[in-house]
Amino acid sequence: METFANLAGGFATALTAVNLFYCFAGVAMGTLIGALPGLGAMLGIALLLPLTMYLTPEAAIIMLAGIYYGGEYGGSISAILINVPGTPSSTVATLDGHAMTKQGRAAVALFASAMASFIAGSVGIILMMLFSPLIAKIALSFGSVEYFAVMLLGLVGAAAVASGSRLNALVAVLMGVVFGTVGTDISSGVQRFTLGFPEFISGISLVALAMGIFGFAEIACSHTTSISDKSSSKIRLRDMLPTRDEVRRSFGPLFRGTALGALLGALPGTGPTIASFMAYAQERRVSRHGNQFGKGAIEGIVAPESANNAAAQTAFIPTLTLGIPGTATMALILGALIVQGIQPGPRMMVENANLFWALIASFWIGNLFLLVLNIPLVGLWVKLVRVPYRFLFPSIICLISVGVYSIDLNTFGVLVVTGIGLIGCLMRAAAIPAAPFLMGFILGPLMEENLRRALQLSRGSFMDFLSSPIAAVCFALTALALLLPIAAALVAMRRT
Amino acid sequence: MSDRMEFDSDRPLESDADQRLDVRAIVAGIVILCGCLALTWTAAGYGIGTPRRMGPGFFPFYLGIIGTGLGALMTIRAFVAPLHVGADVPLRRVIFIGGAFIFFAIAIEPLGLILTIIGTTLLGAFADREARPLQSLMLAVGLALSIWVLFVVLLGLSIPVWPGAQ
Repeated sequence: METFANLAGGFATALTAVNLFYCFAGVAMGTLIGALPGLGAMLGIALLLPLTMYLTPEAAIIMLAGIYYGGEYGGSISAILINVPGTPSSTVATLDGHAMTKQGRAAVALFASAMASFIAGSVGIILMMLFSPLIAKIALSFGSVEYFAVMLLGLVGAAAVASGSRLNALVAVLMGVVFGTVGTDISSGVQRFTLGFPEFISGISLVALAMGIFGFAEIACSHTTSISDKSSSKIRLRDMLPTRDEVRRSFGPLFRGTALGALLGALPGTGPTIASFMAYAQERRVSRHGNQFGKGAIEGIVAPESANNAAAQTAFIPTLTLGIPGTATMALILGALIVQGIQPGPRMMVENANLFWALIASFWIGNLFLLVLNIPLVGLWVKLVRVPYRFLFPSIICLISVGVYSIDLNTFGVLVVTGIGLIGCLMRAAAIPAAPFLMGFILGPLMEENLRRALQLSRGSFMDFLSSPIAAVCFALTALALLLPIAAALVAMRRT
Repeated sequence: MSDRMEFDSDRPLESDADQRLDVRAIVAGIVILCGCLALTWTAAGYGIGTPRRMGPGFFPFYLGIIGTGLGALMTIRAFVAPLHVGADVPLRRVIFIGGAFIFFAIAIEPLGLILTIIGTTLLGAFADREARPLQSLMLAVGLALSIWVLFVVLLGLSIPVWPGAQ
């Protein structure tokens, strides 16, 4: 019953005119930027970070979170209509979604995608309401050792499941942690790696780093060509209803996709993208219509779309209850909260309980907004997606520059964006992924602090770390994540 | 990871192209290796301390050692099993976009918001080969006005608007 009282309090906060506005702004921006191929929720969040300095913590996180889950809805619009995934997690939706568009059934695909997203998102929110307080209660007993161990697992896990080379992902994490050490060491006051710039004494600004990596590097290197002439299909509301047979066939995939997504979203390292790929593969295996997959099977849309939206919601559980983000986007939201002076974690659930419940309430409201934005108004997004990139990119450059400059009216931040952006381009050339880099940057300083405290308590003994069962399990899993690929590579080499 | 393999299955696993030297990966590995050696060296100078009393250099020192190992692994792998996964970076776009940001940083204080945004937009627009001068100029003026309204009028930032305002 306490849950309902808390939720009512949350709604009271989220339903104020100001917070409603920022919730709507967030999900609308998320849908737009998610629908634009090549631009993801990360860029949207980075662009609006300077703006959050003017907002209350509630409005700030409600808006940033809205961009994130709104992006999951928007990504599937371009995946279905123009066969280009708007976000990585909507990649699989192109297979059956675009096949349906080619059969002239785009409206049905969009409707199925929006409904599956909405239902799965709702289930994700309920799970978040039920489990977050429990996990926070357990986490209150966490000491520095446990935190260090869980963060290490989170970082190595994020690298282990990243697409592409695991070694490169590990290098990305490490680079991020190194960039995080720039600035004054908290315990000794020594200035580290500032390269002589006084602006670096307080560390590299998260806003500048995120904008460099996900703004500059993204727009400079993404292979986006104008998509104005690819789609001409009109989407009418009355064409949207799926056949009765399709509705019946959707229940199973919806249920399985949601379950898989909710689980993977809450685990460290895995997120919506992996959830959608796995849900599609799983559904193809268990479905009786497996041979129709890739030819416009409704299951092929419902399963991945429900998985990625369930995952997008449950990803907030570890971020808010433990203060440990599972994905780079969550890390950025965590960073935004830290900038606001709020340290997410079990204590936040006690001290800032209303913030947590207001966010939950805003999820319900935001998902309802998204349903409206995606079903009756889908035609609007289709038009907006056709804005040519030669208009979009200069606008983004200007918004980034003014946004960063506006924080402290110092041009140094803009130069940092340029420098980090160039590093981001080089990282792309070397296939070093950006997302683990950002996670390392945000988690690195927290890890160092917890390691220092843990070592003080254990009198400098690393072996004492293993006496905590939670930490021991995390270290074992970390070792497994590191060693398994090496073992697999050795076996593969033996064979050839 | 088996599910991801299925989506990549149309890519040939072994082709003649894979026998070429993966220059990018070799350079990346060596850069990481050298960078981490420098990191270790600098961190040692900050004072490593003991595990019980971690000095300011303790954490970066060990990061540097791990990174040196990873860099060495990257370099070796680039020679032994080249992957050729690096993306092509379009130089024209990087130069124009980087130029746009640097122009903004140099121009904002002497020239003020309006002229700076127009210049930044034009530079950014020509990162794209399709850009046409008149269209880009219209975009630039439109952007300058909307950013002025958003940041100066609505948010009340004290950014200089015209040259000589400071």
